[in-house]
Amino acid sequence: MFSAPIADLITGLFSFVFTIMIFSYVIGDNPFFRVAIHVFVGLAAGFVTLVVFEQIFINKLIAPMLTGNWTQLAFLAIPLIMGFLLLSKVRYQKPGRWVVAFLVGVGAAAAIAGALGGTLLPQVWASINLFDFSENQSANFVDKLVEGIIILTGTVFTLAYFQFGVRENATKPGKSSVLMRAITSIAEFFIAITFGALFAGVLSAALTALVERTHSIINFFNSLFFQ
Amino acid sequence: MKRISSAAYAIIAISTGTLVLLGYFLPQVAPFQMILLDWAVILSGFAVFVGVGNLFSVHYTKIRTRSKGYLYSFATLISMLTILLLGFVGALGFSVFTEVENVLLNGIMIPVEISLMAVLAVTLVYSSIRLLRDRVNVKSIVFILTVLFILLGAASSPWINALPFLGNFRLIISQVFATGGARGILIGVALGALMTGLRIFFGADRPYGGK
Repeated sequence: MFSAPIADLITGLFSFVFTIMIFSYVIGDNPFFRVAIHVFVGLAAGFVTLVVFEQIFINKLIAPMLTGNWTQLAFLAIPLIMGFLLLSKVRYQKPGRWVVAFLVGVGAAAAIAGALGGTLLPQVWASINLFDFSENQSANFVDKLVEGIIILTGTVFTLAYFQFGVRENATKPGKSSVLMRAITSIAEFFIAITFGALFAGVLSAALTALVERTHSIINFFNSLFFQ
Repeated sequence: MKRISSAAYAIIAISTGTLVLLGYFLPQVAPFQMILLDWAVILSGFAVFVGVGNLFSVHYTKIRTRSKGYLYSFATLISMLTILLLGFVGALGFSVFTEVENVLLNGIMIPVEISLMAVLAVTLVYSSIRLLRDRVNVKSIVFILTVLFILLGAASSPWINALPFLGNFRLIISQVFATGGARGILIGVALGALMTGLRIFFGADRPYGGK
């Protein structure tokens, strides 16, 4: 229906208008920004529905049911029934509750496995390997040792910072010990540096996006009036 | 009766969780784990439908009752229904619908996402200025100095790169001090996730209902 230049023009126009509407937030919350956000939420929800419908319902449920044998059909009928029970949660709470229990169980197992295998063990191994000098040259042994001690101190103190428990008895209220307060002060220094580094990374990415959008606005005007 | 059903929900959650967890360690259980994970993926799809249905219902109610800001809800519903219609009709083979869908994707969705990220740059700079204005202490100064050093080190300016100490200092900050702190935070988050999962496994937390 559309020729390529017309489609590009409409896309560019939409892109320009919505970019300006979002940028208007810099001067404060306003109706243009809200309209843009609400349109975006609607489109995103619709788009997610389409992707889920194609990737999950068609590819994982309907197509295997139409092409598979009886065993596959029986195996896929179970999640189908569970899915309809889950949908019934919108109006009735009870029938879908055991499906939620199933999802929570699977999610908890995936969370435990992910936390253990994806973060906890690799990070602990990386902390241990800081002091593995077998492959390092003796010249930078001291450098590596100091580096390892600083990283390990940062790791342990940062972990200790999030320990908020204190001992309390009837005579005196709970108060953290002098040692804990010293650890907390050093940990705050490490946490400030870590968040600073993360902040700088996010700011760099956001600045890149700002440059890209500004460039796109200039390009749109160029292509409209000067080409 | 309520206690029995509550116990039944807990048994379902714990038994499915145990099977899935065992699948990671015992190859004999892995096929069952795969089946359960497949079912969970399909059910997550249904859960997305429940979520989108709820979004639709909330905005529809706002329009019906003429609540404050119902015109924005109208924008949400119109855009949602438009892309759904285009998607489903486009899947039947009408290419024009796919073209319009592409225009909406490339003309609205992607630019809005990038623009929100761009606005974040302004918000972050503003919040840094407010931090220095409202809460001047050692921690906030260390935070701002770290940001400045890392941003200066990342800049590709010839006179900044000529400064001999900057590159090394940036590396020490980002690869030694920040690594230590980040590792502590990551281990803390992982321990938190582990504890949450274990509490569900032991039936101490029952987010699916019941006591």
